[in-house]
Amino acid sequence: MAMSTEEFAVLTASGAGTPMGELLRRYWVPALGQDELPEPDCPPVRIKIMGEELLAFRDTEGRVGLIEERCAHRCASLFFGRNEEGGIRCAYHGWKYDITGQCIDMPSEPEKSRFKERIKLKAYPCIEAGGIVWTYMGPPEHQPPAPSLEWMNLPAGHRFVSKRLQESNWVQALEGGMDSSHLAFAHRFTIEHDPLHAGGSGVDHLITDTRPKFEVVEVEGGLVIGARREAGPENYYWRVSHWIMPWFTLIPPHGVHPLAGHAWVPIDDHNCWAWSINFDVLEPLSEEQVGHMRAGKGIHVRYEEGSWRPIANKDNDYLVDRDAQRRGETFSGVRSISSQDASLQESMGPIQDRTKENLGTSDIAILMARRRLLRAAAEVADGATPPGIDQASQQVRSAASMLPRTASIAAEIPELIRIRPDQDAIRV
Amino acid sequence: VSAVQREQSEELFEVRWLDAGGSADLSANVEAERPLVCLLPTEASDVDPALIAAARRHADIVALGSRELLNECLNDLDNGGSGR
Repeated sequence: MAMSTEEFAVLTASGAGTPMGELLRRYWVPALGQDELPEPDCPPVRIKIMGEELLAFRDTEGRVGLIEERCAHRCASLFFGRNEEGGIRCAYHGWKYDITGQCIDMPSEPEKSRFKERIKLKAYPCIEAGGIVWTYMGPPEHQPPAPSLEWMNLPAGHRFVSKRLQESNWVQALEGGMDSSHLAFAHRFTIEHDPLHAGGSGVDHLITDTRPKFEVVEVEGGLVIGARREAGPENYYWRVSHWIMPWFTLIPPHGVHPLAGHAWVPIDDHNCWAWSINFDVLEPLSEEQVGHMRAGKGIHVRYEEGSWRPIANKDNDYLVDRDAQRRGETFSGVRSISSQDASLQESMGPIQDRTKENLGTSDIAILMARRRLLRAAAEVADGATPPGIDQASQQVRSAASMLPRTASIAAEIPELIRIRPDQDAIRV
Repeated sequence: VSAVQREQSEELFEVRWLDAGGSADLSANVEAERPLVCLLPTEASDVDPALIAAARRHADIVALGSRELLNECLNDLDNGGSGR
């Protein structure tokens, strides 16, 4: 039987108690940037993950807490609280909570009351790594090892991390991350000029061969996706990307530019965080590169004031510029790479109606990923260990390589994707 | 999408299971009018390496995975994705 409407409902629902929600809660979740909580007792941050409204704060000792957003007393938001002296105090009646969610002070109750001992908000453990605060929202007895993607383990100066709001279900955002064939259309012209993509022979092959052939390999932690394009009479241009369960993708290198990856994390079923990471395994990113990233070039965006929503968003048609489209500066008229993706993926609707889609053979990786997610959710519900929680599954690299037409990509893949700590990724 | 179009989708590509088609001449598909999808189950053993190499040369898509996963994906592909 083909995938049913009911199965799609399972695939896209991330709330607590849903099969996919329970699977996703078995992994460490990228929750917020470390720089969103820059110092002890700094202002708290509201954050929604998989439909749960949470509050992050850094206590006096510098420890990060992630607790239910609302006070257990009258359900007022603790966002308006005071973060001081080892906890966050509700501004309504003064109830105070530590990073474990335990109520540690209840100044509105009689002095001899022990009521506070019975009050504890839901709280999730956090770790800080790779510029991100990660949280684990699953059963404590199943907490996995800390995540260990290559970019997380580099010195801070080798990495640039940003996030943006994407107003679509996380699955359709993820699917864009494993779809090599859209590059020649959605990002045509832009990748030829973008300072974090332009140059190198790869761009030429991406543009000229719009019909890549795919070799997709199911591995323990997700998929390895090879896409080959014509590159002259003797060679193919191969791009090897990864889907690392459940929400990470690694982008193959573009020329000499920093490596890149994403994480697609549900905010709720209609919105997700699109995390975008650039990194250089050998050297710190240059000031010029970081400047481009901060300016919204490459896979990053510029934001509306005081929010994570891109300036180019659905309310302004992503600032589509028909003249630029006509002049051949952009393919769709939307300017930045991430906004090009967002404009198309959000235009599919908050949760794409899959009854109307018509996937072709080049969508095989998307089909495999959907099935793997569904199978993993069912297996975990039956007591299995989630795939891809081991660090080995996460310690892989993307690659871009020119290989002889006679080469076997399957034979080459282990070498192409292997992390060699003192060597750059394989790239052309 | 009409029912007629869905029925036709099965004619849109050719599928070869590499563990069951040892003698197939995949190069013939180079001239065929339909894309060639080659599936290699991880459970398969004794698949002729020459056949796998031929698949990599001639196929539009090569997918390696568990037989169950590949079967499900093939069914989905037959239906243009799914959800119907």
